[in-house]
Order: sequence, then structure tokens, then C-alpha cells
Amino acid sequence: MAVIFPRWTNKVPLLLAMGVPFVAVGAVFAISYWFSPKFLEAGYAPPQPVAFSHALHAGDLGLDCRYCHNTVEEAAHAAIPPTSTCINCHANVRTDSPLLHPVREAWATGEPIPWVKVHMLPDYAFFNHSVHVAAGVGCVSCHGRVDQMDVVYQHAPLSMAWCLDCHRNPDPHLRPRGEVTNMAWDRVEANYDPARDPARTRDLNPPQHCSGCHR
Amino acid sequence: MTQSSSSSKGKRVWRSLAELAGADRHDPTRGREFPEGADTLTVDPVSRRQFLTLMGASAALAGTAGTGCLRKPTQLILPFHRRPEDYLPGEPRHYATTLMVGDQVLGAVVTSMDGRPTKIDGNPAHPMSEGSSSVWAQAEVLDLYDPDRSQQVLHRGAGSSWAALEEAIAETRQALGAQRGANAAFVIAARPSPTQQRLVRALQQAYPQARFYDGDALTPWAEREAWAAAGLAGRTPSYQLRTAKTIVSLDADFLATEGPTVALARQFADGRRLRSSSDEMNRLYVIEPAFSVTGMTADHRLALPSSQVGAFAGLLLRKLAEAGLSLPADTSGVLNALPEAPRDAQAERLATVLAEELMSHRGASAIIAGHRQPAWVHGLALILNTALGNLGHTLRVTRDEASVEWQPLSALATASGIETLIVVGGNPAYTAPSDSGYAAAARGAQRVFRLGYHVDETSEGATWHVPQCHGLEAWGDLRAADGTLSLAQPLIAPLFESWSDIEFLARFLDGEAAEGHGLVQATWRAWSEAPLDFDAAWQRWLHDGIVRTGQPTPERPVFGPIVRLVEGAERLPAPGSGAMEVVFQRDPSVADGRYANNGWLQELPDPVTKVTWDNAAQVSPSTAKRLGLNMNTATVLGHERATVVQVRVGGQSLEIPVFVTPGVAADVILLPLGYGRRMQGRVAQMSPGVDVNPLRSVSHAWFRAGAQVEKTRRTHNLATTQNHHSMEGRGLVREATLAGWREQPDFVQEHELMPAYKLNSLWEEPNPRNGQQWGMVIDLTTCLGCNACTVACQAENNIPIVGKERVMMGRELQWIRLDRYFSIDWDREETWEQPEVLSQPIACMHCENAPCEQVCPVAATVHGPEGTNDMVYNRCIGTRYCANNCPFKVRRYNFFNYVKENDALNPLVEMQRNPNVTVRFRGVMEKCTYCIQRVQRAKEQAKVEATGVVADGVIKPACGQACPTQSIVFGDINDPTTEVSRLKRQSRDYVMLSYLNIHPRTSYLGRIRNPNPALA
Repeated sequence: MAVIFPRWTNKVPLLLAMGVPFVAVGAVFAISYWFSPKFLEAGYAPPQPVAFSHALHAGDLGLDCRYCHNTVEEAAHAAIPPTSTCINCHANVRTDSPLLHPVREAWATGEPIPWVKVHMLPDYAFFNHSVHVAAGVGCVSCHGRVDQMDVVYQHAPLSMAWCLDCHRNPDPHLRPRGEVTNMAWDRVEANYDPARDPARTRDLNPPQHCSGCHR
Repeated sequence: MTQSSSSSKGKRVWRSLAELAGADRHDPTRGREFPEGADTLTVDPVSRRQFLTLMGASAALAGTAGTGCLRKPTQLILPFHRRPEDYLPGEPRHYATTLMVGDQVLGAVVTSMDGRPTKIDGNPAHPMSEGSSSVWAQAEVLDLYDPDRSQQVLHRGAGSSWAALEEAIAETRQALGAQRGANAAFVIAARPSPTQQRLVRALQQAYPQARFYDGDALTPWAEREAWAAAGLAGRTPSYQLRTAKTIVSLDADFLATEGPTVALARQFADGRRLRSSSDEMNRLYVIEPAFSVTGMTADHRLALPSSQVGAFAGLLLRKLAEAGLSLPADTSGVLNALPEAPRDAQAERLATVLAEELMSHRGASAIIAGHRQPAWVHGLALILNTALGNLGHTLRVTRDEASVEWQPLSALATASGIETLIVVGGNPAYTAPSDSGYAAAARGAQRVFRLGYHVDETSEGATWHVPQCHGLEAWGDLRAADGTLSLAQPLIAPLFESWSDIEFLARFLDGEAAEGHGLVQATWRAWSEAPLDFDAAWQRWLHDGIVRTGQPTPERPVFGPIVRLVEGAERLPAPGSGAMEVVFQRDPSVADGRYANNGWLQELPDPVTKVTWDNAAQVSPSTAKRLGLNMNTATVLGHERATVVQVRVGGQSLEIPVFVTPGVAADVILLPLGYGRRMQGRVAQMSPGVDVNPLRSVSHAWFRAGAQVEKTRRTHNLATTQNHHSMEGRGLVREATLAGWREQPDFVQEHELMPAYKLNSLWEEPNPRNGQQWGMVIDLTTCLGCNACTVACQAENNIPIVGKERVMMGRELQWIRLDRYFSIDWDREETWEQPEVLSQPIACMHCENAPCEQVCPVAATVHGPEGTNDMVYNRCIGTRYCANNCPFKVRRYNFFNYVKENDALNPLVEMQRNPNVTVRFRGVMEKCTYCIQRVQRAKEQAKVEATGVVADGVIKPACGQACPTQSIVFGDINDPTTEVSRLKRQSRDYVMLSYLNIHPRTSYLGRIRNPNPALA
């Protein structure tokens, strides 16, 4: 009678028993790291039509975030400024810079500047800037050190788990209302405790249920 | 009394004749969640299986092409060039304006999302809407995005240019001027607009020999004729129903389809809103040929053929005179001129009791005659109101300072030699009775100019067709029925180049501005008193949405001519088995056909029959039996196999399916208008309805005697939702009389199957009682069953339509439905044919122990901490377990990608969508969310304003906001001071199916009727 299984096949179960855990652990690691928004989403830095540097404007020149994103305290969107906001200064400053050519052209033609969206939430998630600003969550908490970015990139994964981390324990991300746009503010240095801030008159109560964001 | 399963005698409620007969017990589909085949794509040529195969193949292709490896699509942000001051991108903005909705003027507040009008609601500052709206007002916004609206100038049916049109108009203007308008006729859909009236007067001066006809099919001609005869030409009635104790409708559907329904419904409801059982409520008597929304709400209802309603009014007048009511001096002889009283014991008894009641409520009653009734009946109503002392109290008269003399369209029949015909708005070729002479005039004219929103039947023979813009795209002004004047401002530039009616009319005049803005300003500059900063006032008028409120004028009608009207009235014989009476109905959904291309309205179930997409004739069960018709007992969910009958009257005939409906007067056949459109658009074409206009004549436009009705061998499947989502007749609707409630305060409890103390849960009950807890209460006493909530919900929550075939499969998606129950008393035979009606709005109840949440395998439907039952679309995998486990049958499933289908049907509908509500994909369950987007928005607002607590009344769900009677109240049930908490403390508050221990957050206030004890 012919031998169906050669002798070496006796070792297969042993090899499998030793190999499978390694593969499984590797797969778990690979998926949890490379498939997660921390890897896939954070760091997204699409090229923009204008070489606008936040590091220059918000960092070196010290412009407040709200000079351009002026709807952030009242509206869900921190709107991208209209071309006229750029021209407020650039009608006089650097009027011949080639980098500003697309802005001047947009101003002359009335066409909008086609900025590329960096922070994208899924359409079924509804985020409101104004309520976060009112709660005293700093811009830097989600957007990172924009004042040091030449090209804006996505700092945080913007995943649901990341949102919930803060909604479950917001305290470490809170600051006085006046420091919301201050990128360099440091909680330890300022020795800030939201529980003892007299300006905070209500419980924060960030939603952790589905309809808080999904409507 | 609400146990339909009980076999004992007494009161019994039921939804369809099939249910009453018990025939649906044998319906094998009844136990199923969805009917057989609901999940099969039979409408489309591709079956579900094939579809999956194809999808699999394309998915594989997509994978190999590498598209799956792309990071994500690039999205652009296109900011403004110069952002308008105070503009917040992405935030809704609200503008006050005024709209013509059906035949009423609605002071409106329109929501605009980044420049797109998405929702129309009532203006709280306008006395004729007080913040509420109606079915048509809610659906009007979809008409703006009608893909079939006229988009270019047509010359003899072929595309032409605006320049050529202007040239042709200039030529015509010269020709008209030379002939002083001889041989010219203007057919204008007349609106109570000061600017339109100013232009028409200017045209009448410029072309003194031209003739002017009102081409609007909803103009109340009979009332106007009677009022003019009484010396009240140019006056309009303004009923004040808040103070009326007794209201009598003579064939008038004043709560839903006739006149200023929004104002009247609100006033009527305020007159019967009960805070406690010691409150008084008004009493409504309705005399009508078939159920209307008003008749469904009546405390006493008498079904009489339309032709006999006048005779009843005469009988009432006689009874009042007998009871000692002194009639105005110049009415002498009217009693002798009255027609013979209807030979009906019930009518006799009702008139006697009603006369007594009216005598004791002098100055606090209202008699309202309907648009179907001839002028002499309106004259009688005016006599009654005057003699009862209502004039100046419950019936105020306001004068329209700008009113114009119009001729009715029927006068065209006697006009001859019309060379130039100018048709502005309306659709006379479809809506006018066949002998009106419009068709002949249009054929005979050398040139026909036509301004129309659609390329419709009227545009067919026109030399020039000019696109008309929507009311949301035009400047204008309107005068409401109570004389309140307001401006209309455009919310958006016309989507397609088009003119408003005033812009079009101004083209036929020299020296008028070409733009609507200039035309309206010219009117108001001339009207304003001299010392006024006009521009500042203009801004304020636009902001407030109101210029000035109307002032009633004291009037003394003269009745001599009315008596002559009564003497000269045509006496139609009461219908009998040999000759039936045809009664025409403004359709509660599509009106006279003007809304025929509106998908929301086509799919809206009729308030009475619950038929969608079709117009079915209605006859009573006994008449149906005599005619040998199918009795609707073979209902298999949405299918109603209706017998088609042939109706012959006045030498014309047509065939139409019949829906047998209780409440129709014997030997009357009710025919709804507005269907069977040849040309209006793709949605209207989807409706298989029948055009009943050929049966109408100028002299008998609204009812006609001597009709022959014969059964044919054909049947037609009607899509009716009345048996969908059945809850198997448990004690769901609960009612009592006012006296009964006083006697037994907890009457709603008698239907409970299980005492509260026995209701124990196996698990810890998740009943959060901290913070704000949302709840709703619906008052069944004031609910009319008008459907405004359904359409408002559809507009707010991006709910697509599914089409007739799928409604027949039970796949309609509307989140809130109106369950309509008939209620009869076994012991009183007269109620068998003429039942009472109960309407109950049903949406998700947001149960605290929600059965749906327990069965979802993926936690896609979960409970929020504020008591809402949340639906998480992105988690849903479409098992439909939740819908199976929902005892209220309020969950709706996207069997297919309806949104995509709707977009394909109507590429403009995307612009209507509310960006704050997720658009649902195929395979996702959906249901009422309590307008969670509004709740969250209000909470966010409250947090930004640092209180964190939402004040009572800030959150109004779309249904509650639109409700004309404000019967739906929403709020925090954890705070005892809120309106909703106060209402829920009433003893008539109950929840459905409480014995399931599910604790619904939506409760109902039992329906309280107020019958006259003398008629009980």
C-alpha cells in the first residue's frame, strides 16, 4: 500500500501550533496599526492652491486664528475665509509676490480659491466648532501646532474612538475661554484646573451617545 | 369600545370595510412584517438576485482596477469672494416672505441653507398663520425644485429666444394700443396682490376695450357673486372662530382645502383646546356630501348631497325664524322663496336642535358656506350670520382697497372675435369646464401669449410660452383674507430664466419697470403716507414679513338682491336610484391639479380613503351594494382591487375606479379633481388617475344631478395605506364626549388590559430621570387628520418617495402616518353608513424599554440619555429585526436606494435636502428621530449661551411646527413647568399598548367630542 503522507508531514501540526500564534499576533498588530485612522488619516497634507503658511501668519506674525476663521465661535463650521480677508492685508503687503498670484487672480476674477479640505469627517458625523470653543477646548487639541505648520496637515486621527476619549474625560483638554486660540498655552505652566475656574458655570456634559454626533 | 376584536355590541372602531367584515383574518400576509414580495425588485426589470450578481461582478472589477486603494477623494472648499456681513456658512438662515399656497395667502418664514430654500413654515408674526402651515405650504418647496418646470421660451412649441419674445410683445403692445384693446382678452390667475391689481387696472386704462378674466380655478365665485349682490363687492370675509361657540359648515372644508385654512384651523382648535374637563369647547356641525377633513373633525355631521345643502340652510333659516329670530327687514319674502326642505328625518331633527343652539349663541356662532355651493346658499349664510348677530364679531368684513373687476372665465363662452389672448398663470385648458369657451377662444385667437410654470395643456396651443418663476424666486406682495398686507421677497434667483406674473404683465404696459422689485416698490411708494422714510420702512416690512394688519370695516349688507337670488335658484332634484349626483372635490393632495407634479403630494395618502397616487371615486357602501361594486373586502395590504365604473352625465362619460367609503351621502359619487394630467411632468405621468373635468359644465361646475353610474367589468388596483402597519385593533384610539369625560375623568384607563402595578420588568428599567428628558404629547381632540405633519416631516428629514407600485407593497417611507378609524355604534343603525372618524398621528414612540433596541444585533438602534430612541444609520446592517419587534410599526426600511432613484427622477431635488440630516442608503432602517437634529442644535446653542439648558418651546419638531392646530407638543417631561408636562398631567393622557411595559415617550390626549345632548 502506497504511503499517502510522507514522513515529514508529522511535523506539520507542531509547526502550525508554533507558527499560527505568531501570524495571528502579527495580523492583529498590522490591522490595529496600519488599518487605523492613526496611520491612515493623521498626517494627511494635501498640496494647496496657494502656498499659504500658517507658520508664518499664525506663528511668526501672531495673527489670532479668529482673524480669518471668524465664524468659529458662532457656527458649526470654522469657515475658510473669503478672498477679501487675504486682500485686507495683501492689498498693501507683498503685492508683487509670485506666491500670491492665485490670490490676486481670484480677487480680480471673483472666482473662489479652490482650497483642498484637510479635516474630513464622514457625512453622517456632525461636528460643531462653536460648542467646543464655548467649552474651552483649544484649537491645538484637535488641529495640533498649526502655528508651526508650513503646509497644514491633519494632526489627529479624527476617529470615533479619538473623539470619545475626550468626551469621556474632557478635563485634560480644557483651558480658560481666553486661551482657546493660544497655541503655546501650557496647562501645567498655567496650573489650570477647570473645576476651580469661576468662569465655568455649568457642567460640561459632553455627549457620549450616538445622536450627539449622528443625526 | 375600541376593541375591534370584541364581538359584543356597542361601539366599535375599524379602519377598512375588510377589517369590519373580518375578511382580512384570512389574509395570509397579515401576520407578516412586510407583504409578500416587498423585498423583490419587481418594478424594475432586474430581479434582486440578478442585481446582486451584477453588483458582485462590478465590485470585483472595481477591486482589480485598483480604485479601492485610493486614499480618499479630494474635497474642495470654495469660499466666498466677499462674504456678506453676518453670513455664517453652513448655518440655516430664515427669511420672512409671503406665498400663495393653493388659494390662501400664507405669511411664511423660509429656511435657507447656504442660499437654497429648503423648508417653508408659517410666520409667527403673521396673524393668518401664527407659525403654522398646511399640507400644501409644506410641499410648495418641492415645487420650486420641479425638474419639469418650464425652462425656456417656446414659440409654437419650439425653443426660441427672450429677444424674439420681447419683440413679439412690443408688436402686440402696439397693436393693442392702436385698437384700444379691442379683440384682446387677458386670462389671469388673479391673486390678491396689490401690485398685480395695480397693473391690471393700468392695463384696463391703457386698453379700455380689452376683457379681463380670472383664470384661477380655485376662485370662490359663488361667494363673490353673493357678496356683490349684497353690496359687499370688493369685501372679503374674515371669520374669527376663537370666539365662536357653534360653527356650522355648509359643505365647506374650511379646515383643509378652502380659503384661509391655516388661520381657521388654528382658531377652531383654540376654541376647543381643553386644559381640564371643566373647560368649554366649541361645537362643529358639518353638512356635506362626503367626508372632508372638516367633516372628520365634526361633532355632528349630516351627509347630504351637495344639491340639498342649500335646502338644509333654508330649513335652518325657517327653524330659526320659528324660534323667534328676527330677520333683517329687507329679507322679507325669503322664507317663501326657500326650496323644499330635504325629506330626511335626521336633517329635520338636526336643524331643530341646531336652531335652538344658535339662538342661545347669538353673536358667537359662524355659518360657513363652501365653494361648491351656489351664490344663493352663500347669500343664505350671510343672512344667517347677520340675523344671528355674528357680523362684526365672528364674521368680520375687510375691504380690499385695490380690488379689480374680474369676469369669470365662463364669460369667455359668450365672447367672440378674440384675436389676442394673454394667459397668465393658472391652467385653464385643463381646469375649465368643457363648455367654458376657453378652448374655442384659444383656438380662434391669432396669437396666444402664455406665462406658465409648466409647459402644460394651456401651453400646448400657445403661440408663445413664457416660463414663470416660483413664488420663492419673485418679488411680490399679497393681501391675506383678513386684510393683512405683506411683501414677498425672493429667496433665490430664478433657477431658470423666467418672469413673475407682474413682470410679464408690465411688459404689456409702457413706462413700467421691467424688474419685479421696481414694480412692487412703485406700488408701495404710491400707497405709503407722505412723511415716511420709505427705504427704512421697506426694510422693516421685509424683515417682519408684514406691512400692516387688516382692519375690519363695519358693513351693512343689503338683502333684497339675495332674496331674488334665492327665488331664482335652480332646484336640483335629490338623487335617487335612477339618477345619481356627481360631486367634484378639490383633491386634498393635488388641489385642482396644480400640485400634480409634486411627488410628496402624489404619495400622500388621502385623509379619508388613504389612497395614494390615484384619484378614486367614492360612493357609500349601500350605493355600492346597489351598483354591485367590489366592497374593498379583498384587501391584501396595499392592493385594493377597485371596480371601475362608467359615469355618464350631461352627454359626457368617463370611467373611474371606485373606493367604497362610508360617510358618502346615498346616491352620490364623489370625483376628485386634479388627476389624469396629459402634460405636467414625469411625476404627474406616474399617476394613473382620471381627469374628471370633462363631466363639469359652467352651470354645474361643482355638482351635477342626473348621473348614470354603471359597473364595468374592469378593475383597477389602488395603492392604499389604510391597512399597512396594522396594530391589530388593540385599544389604540380612545374617545369620550365632554360630558362623559366630566363624569368619568379616567375614561382612557378603562382600555388598559393590565393594571400598572402588575407591570414588572425582568431587568432593571432604564428610565433615566436626570437632566432634560424629551417627550411628546398629541392631542387627538384637535388633530384634524390633515397630513400636514407627514409632509413637514418629509421636507425636514430628506424622506424620498417610492412610487405607486411600492406603496402597494407596503414600502412607503413616511415617518409619521395618520391612522384613520371609522367608529360606529352597533346599537344605532344610522351610524353604520355614517360613522364617526378618528385620526391618530403615529410616529416612533421613543419607548423607554424599546423592543427594537433589544433585538438589534449590531446596536444600530440605541437609547440616548435624554430618552430618545436613536437610529445609527452607519451601523445598520439591515436585518429588519427591529421593525419586526416594533409594536407600533413605525420603522421604515430602505429596500432599495430610493434617494438615488429620486435624484435620477428629479436632478434638482438634491437642492431641497436638509444638510443636517443624513441621507440614507439602501439597506438601512429609518424612523422618526424626534427631529434629533433640531434637539441637538438647540442644545448646542444653549451650551454656547452658557446655560446648557434648553428653554421650553425652543425645540419644535417639524411635525409640531407645521401642525395647523398645534396638536403636537414636544418638550422636557422632567420639568413639571413645561407645556408638555402640563398636558401629560391631564386625566385623558394615555400611551398606546401600555401593557407591554415599554413606556412610550409619546402619549395621546384622548379624543373629546362635544355632541349636543339633545341629539345624543
